Amino acid sequence: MTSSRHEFLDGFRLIVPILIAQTPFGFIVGATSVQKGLSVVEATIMSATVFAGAGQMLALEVWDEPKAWLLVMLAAASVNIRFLLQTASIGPKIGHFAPFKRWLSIATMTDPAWGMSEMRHLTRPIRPGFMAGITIPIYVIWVTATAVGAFAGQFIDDPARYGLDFAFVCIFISLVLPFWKRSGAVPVAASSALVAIVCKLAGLGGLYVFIGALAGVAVAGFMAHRQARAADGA
Amino acid sequence: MALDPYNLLLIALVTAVTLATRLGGALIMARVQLGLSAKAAFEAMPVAVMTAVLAPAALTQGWPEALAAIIAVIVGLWAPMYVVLITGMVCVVLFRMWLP
Repeated sequence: MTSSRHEFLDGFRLIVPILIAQTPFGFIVGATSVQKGLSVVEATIMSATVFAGAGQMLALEVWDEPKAWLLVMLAAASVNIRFLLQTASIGPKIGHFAPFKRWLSIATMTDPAWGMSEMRHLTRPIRPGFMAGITIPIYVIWVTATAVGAFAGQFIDDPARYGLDFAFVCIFISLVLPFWKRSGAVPVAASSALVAIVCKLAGLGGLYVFIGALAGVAVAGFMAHRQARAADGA
Repeated sequence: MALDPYNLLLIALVTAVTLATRLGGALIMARVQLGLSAKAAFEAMPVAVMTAVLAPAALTQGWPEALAAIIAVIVGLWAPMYVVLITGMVCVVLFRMWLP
Protein backbone atom coordinates (compact mmCIF):
# COMPACT_ATOMS: atom_id res chain seq x y z
CA MET A 1 0.00 0.00 0.00
CA THR A 2 2.65 2.45 1.09
CA SER A 3 4.84 1.65 -1.90
CA SER A 4 2.03 2.34 -4.37
CA ARG A 5 1.37 5.60 -2.56
CA HIS A 6 5.03 6.46 -2.99
CA GLU A 7 4.77 5.63 -6.67
CA PHE A 8 1.70 7.85 -7.00
CA LEU A 9 3.46 10.77 -5.31
CA ASP A 10 6.55 10.26 -7.48
CA GLY A 11 4.40 10.63 -10.59
CA PHE A 12 2.43 13.52 -9.14
CA ARG A 13 5.56 15.52 -8.24
CA LEU A 14 6.88 15.17 -11.76
CA ILE A 15 3.80 16.60 -13.45
CA VAL A 16 2.96 19.55 -11.17
CA PRO A 17 4.60 22.02 -13.60
CA ILE A 18 2.68 20.43 -16.47
CA LEU A 19 -0.59 20.77 -14.55
CA ILE A 20 0.02 24.49 -14.19
CA ALA A 21 0.82 24.78 -17.89
CA GLN A 22 -2.23 22.77 -18.91
CA THR A 23 -4.82 24.78 -17.00
CA PRO A 24 -4.97 27.76 -19.41
CA PHE A 25 -4.99 25.33 -22.33
CA GLY A 26 -8.10 23.72 -20.82
CA PHE A 27 -9.74 27.14 -20.39
CA ILE A 28 -9.12 27.95 -24.06
CA VAL A 29 -10.43 24.59 -25.28
CA GLY A 30 -13.57 25.14 -23.17
CA ALA A 31 -14.07 28.70 -24.42
CA THR A 32 -13.43 27.62 -28.03
CA SER A 33 -15.96 24.79 -27.64
CA VAL A 34 -18.80 27.14 -26.76
CA GLN A 35 -17.76 29.55 -29.55
CA LYS A 36 -18.15 26.57 -31.92
CA GLY A 37 -21.67 25.87 -30.70
CA LEU A 38 -21.16 23.27 -27.98
CA SER A 39 -22.96 23.66 -24.66
CA VAL A 40 -21.00 23.76 -21.40
CA VAL A 41 -22.08 20.18 -20.67
CA GLU A 42 -21.04 19.00 -24.14
CA ALA A 43 -17.66 20.73 -23.88
CA THR A 44 -17.06 19.00 -20.55
CA ILE A 45 -18.14 15.61 -21.92
CA MET A 46 -15.78 16.09 -24.85
CA SER A 47 -12.77 16.72 -22.61
CA ALA A 48 -13.75 13.81 -20.37
CA THR A 49 -14.06 11.30 -23.22
CA VAL A 50 -11.45 12.51 -25.75
CA PHE A 51 -8.84 13.71 -23.22
CA ALA A 52 -6.39 14.93 -25.87
CA GLY A 53 -5.93 18.71 -26.10
CA ALA A 54 -4.32 19.15 -29.50
CA GLY A 55 -6.76 16.71 -31.11
CA GLN A 56 -9.74 18.47 -29.53
CA MET A 57 -8.52 21.91 -30.57
CA LEU A 58 -7.97 20.80 -34.15
CA ALA A 59 -11.34 19.01 -34.32
CA LEU A 60 -13.09 22.13 -32.98
CA GLU A 61 -11.43 24.19 -35.71
CA VAL A 62 -13.40 22.27 -38.39
CA TRP A 63 -16.52 21.71 -36.23
CA ASP A 64 -18.77 24.05 -38.23
CA GLU A 65 -17.54 23.17 -41.73
CA PRO A 66 -19.74 21.17 -44.11
CA LYS A 67 -19.13 17.40 -43.81
CA ALA A 68 -17.77 18.06 -40.32
CA TRP A 69 -18.20 14.42 -39.28
CA LEU A 70 -15.44 13.42 -41.69
CA LEU A 71 -13.23 16.45 -41.03
CA VAL A 72 -13.29 16.12 -37.24
CA MET A 73 -12.18 12.49 -37.54
CA LEU A 74 -9.33 13.41 -39.89
CA ALA A 75 -8.33 16.30 -37.64
CA ALA A 76 -8.28 14.14 -34.51
CA ALA A 77 -6.50 11.26 -36.25
CA SER A 78 -3.83 13.47 -37.76
CA VAL A 79 -2.42 14.81 -34.49
CA ASN A 80 -3.33 11.87 -32.28
CA ILE A 81 -1.49 9.44 -34.52
CA ARG A 82 1.49 10.03 -32.24
CA PHE A 83 -0.31 7.90 -29.61
CA LEU A 84 0.15 4.89 -31.91
CA LEU A 85 3.89 5.14 -31.49
CA GLN A 86 3.71 6.01 -27.80
CA THR A 87 1.52 3.09 -26.75
CA ALA A 88 3.41 0.75 -29.09
CA SER A 89 6.53 1.60 -27.14
CA ILE A 90 5.01 1.64 -23.64
CA GLY A 91 2.67 -1.36 -24.08
CA PRO A 92 5.36 -4.04 -23.69
CA LYS A 93 7.02 -2.11 -20.84
CA ILE A 94 3.86 -2.33 -18.72
CA GLY A 95 3.07 -5.94 -19.59
CA HIS A 96 3.38 -6.82 -15.89
CA PHE A 97 0.35 -4.62 -14.94
CA ALA A 98 -2.97 -6.35 -14.19
CA PRO A 99 -4.93 -6.30 -17.50
CA PHE A 100 -7.46 -3.68 -16.36
CA LYS A 101 -4.77 -1.29 -15.15
CA ARG A 102 -2.69 -1.91 -18.26
CA TRP A 103 -5.49 -1.14 -20.71
CA LEU A 104 -6.71 1.81 -18.68
CA SER A 105 -3.18 3.27 -18.73
CA ILE A 106 -3.05 2.76 -22.49
CA ALA A 107 -6.53 4.16 -23.15
CA THR A 108 -5.69 7.33 -21.22
CA MET A 109 -2.19 7.86 -22.66
CA THR A 110 -1.00 11.47 -22.83
CA ASP A 111 2.28 13.07 -23.89
CA PRO A 112 3.41 13.65 -20.26
CA ALA A 113 2.38 10.16 -19.10
CA TRP A 114 4.29 8.67 -22.02
CA GLY A 115 7.40 10.83 -21.62
CA MET A 116 7.66 10.38 -17.85
CA SER A 117 7.06 6.62 -18.06
CA GLU A 118 9.72 6.17 -20.74
CA MET A 119 12.11 8.07 -18.47
CA ARG A 120 11.12 5.98 -15.44
CA HIS A 121 11.68 2.79 -17.39
CA LEU A 122 15.34 3.71 -17.88
CA THR A 123 16.02 3.34 -14.16
CA ARG A 124 13.31 1.06 -12.72
CA PRO A 125 10.12 -0.81 -13.69
CA ILE A 126 7.02 1.32 -14.29
CA ARG A 127 4.28 0.72 -11.70
CA PRO A 128 0.54 1.36 -12.11
CA GLY A 129 0.64 3.81 -9.18
CA PHE A 130 3.26 5.90 -10.94
CA MET A 131 1.16 6.25 -14.10
CA ALA A 132 -1.97 6.93 -12.02
CA GLY A 133 -0.09 9.70 -10.19
CA ILE A 134 0.47 11.36 -13.55
CA THR A 135 -2.79 10.66 -15.38
CA ILE A 136 -5.39 11.20 -12.62
CA PRO A 137 -4.34 14.78 -11.74
CA ILE A 138 -4.01 15.68 -15.44
CA TYR A 139 -7.49 14.28 -16.09
CA VAL A 140 -9.10 16.12 -13.17
CA ILE A 141 -7.44 19.43 -14.07
CA TRP A 142 -8.17 19.03 -17.77
CA VAL A 143 -11.88 18.34 -17.38
CA THR A 144 -12.32 21.02 -14.69
CA ALA A 145 -10.44 23.67 -16.68
CA THR A 146 -12.52 22.91 -19.79
CA ALA A 147 -15.76 23.24 -17.83
CA VAL A 148 -14.66 26.55 -16.30
CA GLY A 149 -13.44 27.86 -19.67
CA ALA A 150 -16.69 26.83 -21.37
CA PHE A 151 -18.77 28.47 -18.65
CA ALA A 152 -16.81 31.72 -18.88
CA GLY A 153 -16.78 31.54 -22.68
CA GLN A 154 -20.56 31.87 -22.80
CA PHE A 155 -20.29 35.48 -21.71
CA ILE A 156 -17.79 36.52 -24.40
CA ASP A 157 -19.64 38.06 -27.35
CA ASP A 158 -16.73 39.18 -29.46
CA PRO A 159 -13.76 36.81 -29.05
CA ALA A 160 -11.54 38.82 -31.44
CA ARG A 161 -11.72 41.84 -29.14
CA TYR A 162 -9.75 39.96 -26.48
CA GLY A 163 -7.48 38.21 -28.96
CA LEU A 164 -9.25 34.96 -28.10
CA ASP A 165 -9.41 33.95 -31.77
CA PHE A 166 -5.61 34.12 -31.72
CA ALA A 167 -5.30 31.76 -28.73
CA PHE A 168 -5.49 28.89 -31.21
CA VAL A 169 -2.25 30.06 -32.89
CA CYS A 170 -0.51 30.62 -29.53
CA ILE A 171 -1.44 27.15 -28.29
CA PHE A 172 -0.14 25.45 -31.41
CA ILE A 173 3.07 27.48 -31.19
CA SER A 174 3.59 26.15 -27.65
CA LEU A 175 2.72 22.60 -28.64
CA VAL A 176 4.92 22.49 -31.72
CA LEU A 177 8.03 24.28 -30.42
CA PRO A 178 9.46 21.27 -28.54
CA PHE A 179 9.10 19.25 -31.76
CA TRP A 180 10.86 21.95 -33.81
CA LYS A 181 13.86 21.70 -31.49
CA ARG A 182 14.38 18.00 -32.27
CA SER A 183 17.07 16.99 -34.74
CA GLY A 184 15.90 16.82 -38.34
CA ALA A 185 12.67 18.68 -37.62
CA VAL A 186 13.54 21.94 -39.36
CA PRO A 187 13.34 20.65 -42.98
CA VAL A 188 10.12 18.79 -42.11
CA ALA A 189 8.49 21.83 -40.51
CA ALA A 190 9.73 24.21 -43.21
CA SER A 191 8.32 22.10 -46.04
CA SER A 192 5.00 21.63 -44.20
CA ALA A 193 4.73 25.36 -43.57
CA LEU A 194 5.65 26.38 -47.11
CA VAL A 195 3.35 23.91 -48.87
CA ALA A 196 0.47 24.63 -46.48
CA ILE A 197 0.77 28.39 -47.01
CA VAL A 198 0.95 28.03 -50.81
CA CYS A 199 -2.11 25.74 -50.81
CA LYS A 200 -4.03 28.07 -48.54
CA LEU A 201 -3.25 31.09 -50.74
CA ALA A 202 -4.20 29.01 -53.80
CA GLY A 203 -7.65 28.66 -52.24
CA LEU A 204 -7.64 24.91 -51.58
CA GLY A 205 -9.88 25.27 -48.50
CA GLY A 206 -9.35 22.88 -45.58
CA LEU A 207 -7.18 20.61 -47.75
CA TYR A 208 -4.12 22.78 -47.16
CA VAL A 209 -3.47 21.12 -43.78
CA PHE A 210 -3.35 17.65 -45.26
CA ILE A 211 -1.26 18.55 -48.31
CA GLY A 212 1.15 20.55 -46.13
CA ALA A 213 1.44 17.74 -43.60
CA LEU A 214 1.98 15.22 -46.38
CA ALA A 215 4.89 17.30 -47.70
CA GLY A 216 6.52 17.30 -44.26
CA VAL A 217 6.00 13.58 -43.76
CA ALA A 218 7.42 12.84 -47.23
CA VAL A 219 10.52 14.91 -46.45
CA ALA A 220 10.99 13.02 -43.14
CA GLY A 221 10.69 9.65 -44.87
CA PHE A 222 13.04 10.73 -47.64
CA MET A 223 15.65 12.03 -45.16
CA ALA A 224 15.60 8.77 -43.20
CA HIS A 225 15.90 6.81 -46.44
CA ARG A 226 18.95 8.80 -47.52
CA GLN A 227 20.52 8.44 -44.08
CA ALA A 228 20.02 4.67 -44.15
CA ARG A 229 21.53 4.49 -47.66
CA ALA A 230 24.52 6.57 -46.57
CA ALA A 231 25.04 4.32 -43.52
CA ASP A 232 24.91 1.21 -45.73
CA GLY A 233 27.34 2.70 -48.21
CA ALA A 234 29.90 3.65 -45.56
CA MET B 1 -27.85 24.52 -23.93
CA ALA B 2 -28.08 20.92 -22.77
CA LEU B 3 -27.35 18.20 -25.31
CA ASP B 4 -27.51 18.32 -29.09
CA PRO B 5 -27.46 14.96 -30.94
CA TYR B 6 -25.22 16.28 -33.73
CA ASN B 7 -22.61 17.61 -31.30
CA LEU B 8 -22.74 14.35 -29.35
CA LEU B 9 -22.20 12.39 -32.57
CA LEU B 10 -19.11 14.44 -33.45
CA ILE B 11 -17.79 14.06 -29.88
CA ALA B 12 -18.30 10.28 -30.11
CA LEU B 13 -16.42 10.17 -33.43
CA VAL B 14 -13.47 12.17 -32.09
CA THR B 15 -13.43 9.95 -28.98
CA ALA B 16 -13.48 6.78 -31.10
CA VAL B 17 -10.65 7.95 -33.34
CA THR B 18 -8.53 9.04 -30.38
CA LEU B 19 -9.13 5.79 -28.51
CA ALA B 20 -8.24 3.84 -31.66
CA THR B 21 -4.86 5.60 -31.87
CA ARG B 22 -4.13 4.84 -28.21
CA LEU B 23 -5.22 1.19 -28.26
CA GLY B 24 -3.93 0.59 -31.79
CA GLY B 25 -0.36 1.25 -30.75
CA ALA B 26 -0.32 -1.40 -28.06
CA LEU B 27 -2.48 -3.87 -30.02
CA ILE B 28 -1.05 -3.60 -33.53
CA MET B 29 1.98 -1.34 -33.84
CA ALA B 30 3.89 -3.15 -31.07
CA ARG B 31 3.78 -6.25 -33.31
CA VAL B 32 4.68 -4.58 -36.60
CA GLN B 33 8.27 -4.01 -37.65
CA LEU B 34 8.38 -0.67 -39.48
CA GLY B 35 11.11 0.23 -41.97
CA LEU B 36 13.32 3.20 -41.17
CA SER B 37 11.63 5.58 -43.62
CA ALA B 38 8.14 4.53 -42.53
CA LYS B 39 9.04 5.02 -38.88
CA ALA B 40 10.53 8.45 -39.57
CA ALA B 41 7.42 9.42 -41.55
CA PHE B 42 5.17 8.31 -38.68
CA GLU B 43 7.21 10.16 -36.12
CA ALA B 44 7.16 13.32 -38.22
CA MET B 45 3.37 13.31 -38.54
CA PRO B 46 2.47 15.38 -35.45
CA VAL B 47 5.04 18.08 -36.20
CA ALA B 48 4.08 18.14 -39.88
CA VAL B 49 0.36 18.44 -39.11
CA MET B 50 0.76 21.05 -36.38
CA THR B 51 3.05 23.15 -38.57
CA ALA B 52 0.68 22.88 -41.53
CA VAL B 53 -2.16 24.09 -39.29
CA LEU B 54 -0.14 26.80 -37.65
CA ALA B 55 1.86 28.44 -40.45
CA PRO B 56 -1.08 29.56 -42.65
CA ALA B 57 -3.16 30.62 -39.61
CA ALA B 58 -0.24 32.70 -38.33
CA LEU B 59 1.12 34.16 -41.55
CA THR B 60 -1.74 34.67 -44.04
CA GLN B 61 -4.25 36.65 -41.97
CA GLY B 62 -2.43 39.99 -41.94
CA TRP B 63 0.39 41.93 -40.34
CA PRO B 64 -0.95 42.02 -36.76
CA GLU B 65 -1.36 38.23 -36.61
CA ALA B 66 1.96 37.52 -38.34
CA LEU B 67 3.94 39.82 -36.05
CA ALA B 68 2.21 38.57 -32.92
CA ALA B 69 2.91 34.98 -33.98
CA ILE B 70 6.61 35.68 -34.53
CA ILE B 71 6.84 37.28 -31.09
CA ALA B 72 4.97 34.32 -29.58
CA VAL B 73 7.47 31.90 -31.16
CA ILE B 74 10.43 33.84 -29.76
CA VAL B 75 8.82 33.97 -26.30
CA GLY B 76 7.89 30.28 -26.55
CA LEU B 77 11.53 29.27 -26.97
CA TRP B 78 11.97 29.71 -23.24
CA ALA B 79 8.57 30.47 -21.70
CA PRO B 80 5.71 28.09 -20.81
CA MET B 81 2.38 28.01 -22.59
CA TYR B 82 0.47 30.48 -20.44
CA VAL B 83 3.13 33.15 -21.04
CA VAL B 84 2.97 32.48 -24.79
CA LEU B 85 -0.83 32.72 -24.66
CA ILE B 86 -0.89 36.00 -22.77
CA THR B 87 1.90 37.59 -24.84
CA GLY B 88 0.38 36.49 -28.14
CA MET B 89 -3.13 37.63 -27.27
CA VAL B 90 -2.02 41.00 -25.89
CA CYS B 91 0.21 41.60 -28.94
CA VAL B 92 -2.51 40.75 -31.43
CA VAL B 93 -5.04 43.03 -29.74
CA LEU B 94 -2.55 45.93 -29.68
CA PHE B 95 -1.29 45.35 -33.23
CA ARG B 96 -4.85 45.21 -34.55
CA MET B 97 -5.40 48.68 -33.17
CA TRP B 98 -2.25 50.14 -34.72
CA LEU B 99 -1.51 48.14 -37.86
CA PRO B 100 -3.54 47.74 -41.08
